Amino acid sequence: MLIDYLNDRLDEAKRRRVVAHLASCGECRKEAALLIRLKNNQEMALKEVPQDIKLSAFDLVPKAQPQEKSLLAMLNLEPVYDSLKLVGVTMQFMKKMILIGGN
Amino acid sequence: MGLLSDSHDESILISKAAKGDNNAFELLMGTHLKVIYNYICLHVSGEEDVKDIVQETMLAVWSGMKSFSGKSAFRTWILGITRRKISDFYRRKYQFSTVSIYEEEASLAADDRFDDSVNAIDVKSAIASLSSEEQELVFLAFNAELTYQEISDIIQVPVGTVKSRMHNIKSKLRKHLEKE
Repeated sequence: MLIDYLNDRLDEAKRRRVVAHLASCGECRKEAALLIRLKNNQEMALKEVPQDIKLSAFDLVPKAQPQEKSLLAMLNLEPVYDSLKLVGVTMQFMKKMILIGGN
Repeated sequence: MGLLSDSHDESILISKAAKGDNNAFELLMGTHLKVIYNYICLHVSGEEDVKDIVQETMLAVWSGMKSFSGKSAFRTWILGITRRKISDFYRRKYQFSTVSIYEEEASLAADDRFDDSVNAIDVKSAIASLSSEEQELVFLAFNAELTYQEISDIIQVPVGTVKSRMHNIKSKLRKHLEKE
C-alpha cells in the first residue's frame, strides 16, 4: 500500500487513509522513508534511451499504406469509365421505356 | 508515469493505434520507451541485442494492439510483452543449452558494467546486493510503478508471493543500509 501511495496509484479515499495512518505510526513512517530513498535512487538510476534506439525503435512496425489506387485511377481512365457507365444506364432506361411502350 | 499521465489521453492514443494509426502508436509507445529500454537493460547487456529486443517488442505490441482488452493497465500489458521478448532472446541464444534467464542475469550482475556504478551511493550498493530476481521486482515496483497485482501478472507468480518477496527485499535493504 505504501509503494502504491508513493507511486500515486491509490484512489483519493485510500490515499487519505495512508496519510492518516502515517501521521500516527512511526514504524510506517520509517518504512516510507526507506521506500522514498529507494524510489529516488531508482529514478536516478534510469538510463536515458540512446538516440539510435529512439530512431530505430519502430523500424519493424509496418507503416500504414495509403489506400491502393484502382487500375482505372492509375491509367487516368476514371472519366472515360464514368461516361461509359452513364451511356449504359441511359440505354437500359430507354430499353425499359420501349418495353413498357410495347405492352 | 511518463508524459501521458492522463489516462484519458492514453486511452485515446490506444484506440487510434489499435485502428492502425502509426503516429498515435509512436506517440503512445514513446512515453513508455524509457521504462521498456531500462527493463531490457536489466536483463540484457549487448547494445545490439537491446536494440533488437526493443524493435521486436514494438512490433509485438503493434501486432497485439487490437487484442488489448484494457483489463490490465497498458504499461502492465506492454511490460509483459517485453518480458516475453527477453525470454525469446535467451531461448534463441541458448537453444541447445539449459542455462536459464536468471543464471544469465546472475553472471551479468557480476559484470564490470555493474561494478562501476554500485560503489558510490549507499542505496545503489544495497540494491546491487539483491539477486537479479529481486532487482527486477524493485524495478517493476519503483520504475514501472506497478501494483503488486500487476507485478504478479507480469512475472506470473501469485500476488502473495510478490508481497512476501517485497517484504524480504525491504528487510534486506534496511539491514544493508543500517550497517552503513
